[in-house]
Amino acid sequence: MSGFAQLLLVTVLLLDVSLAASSRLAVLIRAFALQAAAVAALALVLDGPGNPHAWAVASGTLLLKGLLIPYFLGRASERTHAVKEQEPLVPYGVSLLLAAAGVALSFALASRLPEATQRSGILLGAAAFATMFTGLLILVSRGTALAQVAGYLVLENGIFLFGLSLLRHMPLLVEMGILLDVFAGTFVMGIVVYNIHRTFDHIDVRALTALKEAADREEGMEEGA
Amino acid sequence: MNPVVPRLLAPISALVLAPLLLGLIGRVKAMMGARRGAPLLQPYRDLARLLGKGEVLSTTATLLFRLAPVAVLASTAAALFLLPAGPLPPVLSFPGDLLLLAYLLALGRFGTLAAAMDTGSAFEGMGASREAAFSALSEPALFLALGGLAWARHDLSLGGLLGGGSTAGLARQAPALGLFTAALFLLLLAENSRIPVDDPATHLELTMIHEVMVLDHSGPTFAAILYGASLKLWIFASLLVSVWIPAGLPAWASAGLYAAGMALVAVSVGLVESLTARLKLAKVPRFLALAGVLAGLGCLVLFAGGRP
Repeated sequence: MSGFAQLLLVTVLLLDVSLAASSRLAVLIRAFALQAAAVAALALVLDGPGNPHAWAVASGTLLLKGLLIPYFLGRASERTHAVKEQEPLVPYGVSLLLAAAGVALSFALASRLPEATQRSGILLGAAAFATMFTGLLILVSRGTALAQVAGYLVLENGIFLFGLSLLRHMPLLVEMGILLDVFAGTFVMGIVVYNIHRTFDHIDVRALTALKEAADREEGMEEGA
Repeated sequence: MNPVVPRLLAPISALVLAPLLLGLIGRVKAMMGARRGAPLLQPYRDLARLLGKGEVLSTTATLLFRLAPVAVLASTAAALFLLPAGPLPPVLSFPGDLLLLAYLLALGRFGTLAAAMDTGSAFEGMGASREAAFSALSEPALFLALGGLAWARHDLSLGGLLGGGSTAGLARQAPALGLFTAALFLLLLAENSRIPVDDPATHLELTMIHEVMVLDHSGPTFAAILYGASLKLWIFASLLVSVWIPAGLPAWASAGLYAAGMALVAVSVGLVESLTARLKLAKVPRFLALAGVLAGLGCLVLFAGGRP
């Protein structure tokens, strides 16, 4: 593996750790965008710059996951006035250590993969597992809807990396389909976040269990008006 | 000429130039704040001024209080003899001397802690407790980073693990070495009471960590402590810089790289101090954990790079 690819993979790993430890939504979104850009560059580096296939996948990933989705997420966080999450289910210090443990675990996992899948050393597989683990961690440990969307997207970055480590060439159609899915998913989740915000004045999904109470309150407000 | 004399140049240059690093950091901070700042040689003047002053002792202080600054200075200066400096190999070198380096620094810290408790001041006891807690967290990170470097260079002596990289090896191991360097830089900030962790210029005892421990020292013993602190900063900066100097360069190029690297570290510390706010005390463990995580990640990358 070239030194540049190695550098990109280390960047992905570092972003995993910083994603797990960051409390500000803006930082989370920016780190995700950077990670998507690194992953896109990696697709290009690994498949060779002479390959039009790789160019299409890389530019599609960069455009959608590196630019468009972060832009929309940023707007959503502005509209919902969600700046940072004060009390995640797992404290940030613990989250940082968990992510680090996840990285270590992914190296152990990746080194046990069959030789055929280790097309470019175990660093690629390890980065893929670590990114998936970090995505899952964010998904389950955060209470705000937007942070969970970011977690889902990070998870998808990991799956993309894993695809890179498995396949010689990512089939273009499959990759474009996945990108479209992710975009549509983010779109739908954006609408959901907006509706949660409109109904509850915040985007803390833990409060969703109190649906009835909020509905009562709204009824009361309507009567008052 | 006696072959020992040129080898002694490394610690001697450190002993002479260490306060200059502090002066440079101060200058960078002043420039970032659009001030002219103190002259580069101000730390030397401060030391000279302190040496000419008398000493005031707390009534509860014992002999320990007067001995501790000497211990700080002596142990830190001794650590200098283990470090390479650019083209110069270390004066003393044996496998495993990285442990000696870490514990010489810890001995100096123990000296300050003991002296702080000896004064009987509640503030200083509080500072000692903080310093002890944070140093317990930074030590694993330091060993992970140094151990990882030893693994990368297949050498357990500081002279080998710091100065033994070929240009090709540096390029190949750049990601891992970068992670170790980042971890060491965070440790440099934490261990030398620099801004994200501690503010060397603060005047509020409650928020201090390191400074509050040395409040009762005055005159020559305070000079010894300040000078020891500048030597410690030099040691950490030297660790950072030496990793990146390829072996086999001509002596002048190596020395030039070393000097430029040290200046760069001082400027970066100044920039970090100007651009970041201090962390809450409760967040310092997370900062130190980050250093440990970076070093651990470096080890993992090395492990991955070991296989084709």
